[in-house]
Amino acid sequence: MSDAIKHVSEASFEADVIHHTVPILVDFWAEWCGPCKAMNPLLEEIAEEYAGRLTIAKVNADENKQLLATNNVRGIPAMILFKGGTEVARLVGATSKTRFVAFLEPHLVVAA
Amino acid sequence: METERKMMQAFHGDTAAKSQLLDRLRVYAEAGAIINADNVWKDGKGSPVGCVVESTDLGLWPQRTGMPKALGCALDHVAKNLGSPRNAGLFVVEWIDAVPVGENMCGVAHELIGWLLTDPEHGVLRLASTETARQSVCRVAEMHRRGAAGQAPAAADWAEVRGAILAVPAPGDKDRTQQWVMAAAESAAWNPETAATVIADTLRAWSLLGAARRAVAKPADSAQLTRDTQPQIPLPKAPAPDGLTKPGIDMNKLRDAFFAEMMRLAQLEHQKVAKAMLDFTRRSAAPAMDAR
Repeated sequence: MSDAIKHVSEASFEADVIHHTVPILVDFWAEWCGPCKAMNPLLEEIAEEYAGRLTIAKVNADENKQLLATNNVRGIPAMILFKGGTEVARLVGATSKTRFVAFLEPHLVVAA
Repeated sequence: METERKMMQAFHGDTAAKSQLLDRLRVYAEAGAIINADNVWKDGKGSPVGCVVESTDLGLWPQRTGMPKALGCALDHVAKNLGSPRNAGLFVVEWIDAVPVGENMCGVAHELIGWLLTDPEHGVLRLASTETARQSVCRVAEMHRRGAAGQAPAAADWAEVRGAILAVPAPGDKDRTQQWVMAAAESAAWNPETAATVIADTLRAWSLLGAARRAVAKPADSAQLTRDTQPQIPLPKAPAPDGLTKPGIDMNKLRDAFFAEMMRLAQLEHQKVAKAMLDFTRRSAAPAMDAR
């Protein structure tokens, strides 16, 4: 797994996600989830291409069940985009790079 | 405006590196350690890429093989759908063996996407029934044709084409075939020299197009289509309370038979892709041989 991706737990969620200064996309995944693994190369590529504008973080769903409940995650992979500590968008299920970028871009536009 | 092809040489031009990798992969294949999965490396077993780099870090793939990441992701995706670790192992060894040392494999990546889009027998284009869908597929295929010739369009050109396809109003829910034709076109509109998942994304849409087509002929397949269009896994719910009436049909058996049939069809489709991938790879060696 690329170093460009941050691993987050229940203990670090507040500091790593809620107080994060740039938009952060949190991917809820599990070891046994095939679609989650299929998304990894895309998430790594996005982390590199959007470095400085977007942070990618991963939460292991099996090890952080409380975070599933607090974030209302009912299926994985679930990718939640936070800005300023608030959820602004969510994408559930594996998707293509085209759709993923189309999902992200409107939220990453820098105000003139 | 066109981009200059990234300088990549298969196995970095090192015949010994290819031999060592092949020897290692043969051992993994014989042990059944090349599994049907994407992006996995665990306990000495893994997906094809996992076994090549002995990690889940796709960034190591170009370092070890001198090939674009897109071909690694495609290898994982095709092998995942070949039905058994034995088939996956045989295919991976055969494909790596077919890669000519020192060849720039970016052209093969473009050719494979072009084949998925326009092959008269298997391509997306044959199922495009509207002018918009046909034009979208042809436009993307033309970009890959240029890429295969070493003249891949610039990133802005790919983005412009994706934007144009996304701007087309989505076909209605009743026309799932056209939905997946457009999905294949938009998924394919990236340069595989730089975008790791473009072949795998296109393959996924291509497979779903096949399922959509079957669903038209056999409505039962629409259950698979619904499952695949929402490729997420529901988390377990609380157990059902006691006292519910047991259904008269063994739903588990019915479900297993249904998914076994879907797996068989997916396997047949991906055997064709594996063959195309091998053919393009073997053919890529020909000009280099002539030049020598």
